[in-house]
Amino acid sequence: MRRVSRVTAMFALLLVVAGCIRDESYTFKGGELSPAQPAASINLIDHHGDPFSLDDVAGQVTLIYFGYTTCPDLCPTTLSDFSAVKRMLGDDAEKVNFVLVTVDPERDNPARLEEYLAFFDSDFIGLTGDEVSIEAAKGGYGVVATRVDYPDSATGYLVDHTSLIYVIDRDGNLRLTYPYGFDPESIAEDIRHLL
Amino acid sequence: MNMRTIPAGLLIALVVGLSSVIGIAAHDSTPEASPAASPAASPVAMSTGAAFMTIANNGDTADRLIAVETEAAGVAEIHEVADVSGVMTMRPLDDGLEIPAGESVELMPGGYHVMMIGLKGDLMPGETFDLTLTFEHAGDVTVTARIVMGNEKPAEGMAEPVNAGDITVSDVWSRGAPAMSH
Repeated sequence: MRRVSRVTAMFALLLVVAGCIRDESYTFKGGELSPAQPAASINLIDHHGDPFSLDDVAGQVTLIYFGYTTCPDLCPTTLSDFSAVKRMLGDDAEKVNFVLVTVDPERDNPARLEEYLAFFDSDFIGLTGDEVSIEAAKGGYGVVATRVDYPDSATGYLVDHTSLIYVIDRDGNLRLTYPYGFDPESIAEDIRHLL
Repeated sequence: MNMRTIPAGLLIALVVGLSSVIGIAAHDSTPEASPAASPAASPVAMSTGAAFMTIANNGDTADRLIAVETEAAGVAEIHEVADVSGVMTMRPLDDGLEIPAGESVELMPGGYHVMMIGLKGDLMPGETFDLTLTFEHAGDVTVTARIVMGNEKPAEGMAEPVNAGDITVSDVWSRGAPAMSH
């Protein structure tokens, strides 16, 4: 009897260990930066016109996308994906920040960012700033953004830009990236493992 | 059907002269939401949206989408998005979008789209608006876009396919987007 329970206990322990190992070895769906490195600092102005620093969201998971509000296809696609991820996370979304850093500070002032993001989710954070601050933020993440003038187009100009999503974990490390169009369900699953 | 058969660097159909535009809200209920007077949006307040669709050419000769007008925006252009080494680029197409004979071209997120500039009102999910497409050979065809929130072509609720000559346009949809005041 005793022996049976010992075996049972050992088996149970094995299961627990196996469970831990499996969790430890979770393979992220996104591109994982290994070893994780401290995320480059971001010091900009948010969509309310208040200063914003990554220190303000320390201890939480933050998704960052560099884009602009005049962008008709890619940026709204990514913001819609953000909305989907947030919805999938349910209550856990309270510990997750979704950030759009503009690559078009000339047009994207705080009021415009606020108006734009509210259409997707009023919890989303929009960041802008002067050229120097924006350049610094872009540089920290290796973001390329090039203004291309189209005098014959009603847009005047468009901005070609890096379309990655960057994920900063609770320890402030740049941990994951996703290319444009990545499946929101996979992103949500990754984020759950970072919480 | 093959979708992206067009060589990069085509087109554009800069469509102007939408003075007689009707508000998109006319499709639904609230008349006060009629986007009336927000004509040439200032560069700062410029708002944009994108419309997607499938265009089939059932004929023996290639046709070309050369212009788009819509009641939803002051201007509509045809653009192409491309991923160049991780940097997404967007271009107005200079010579229109070719629809090869016997083929079908899909305008979809991350590829071709009708870029609408200077929205006359919010593109609200659940609502619809009309676009008039001008083809080099098939002429004008007016289609109705269904607005959804999200990135997937809606599974239902879209208008019946519309024919003009050898051209058939179907599955016309648009993503929700805000008309900007800032």
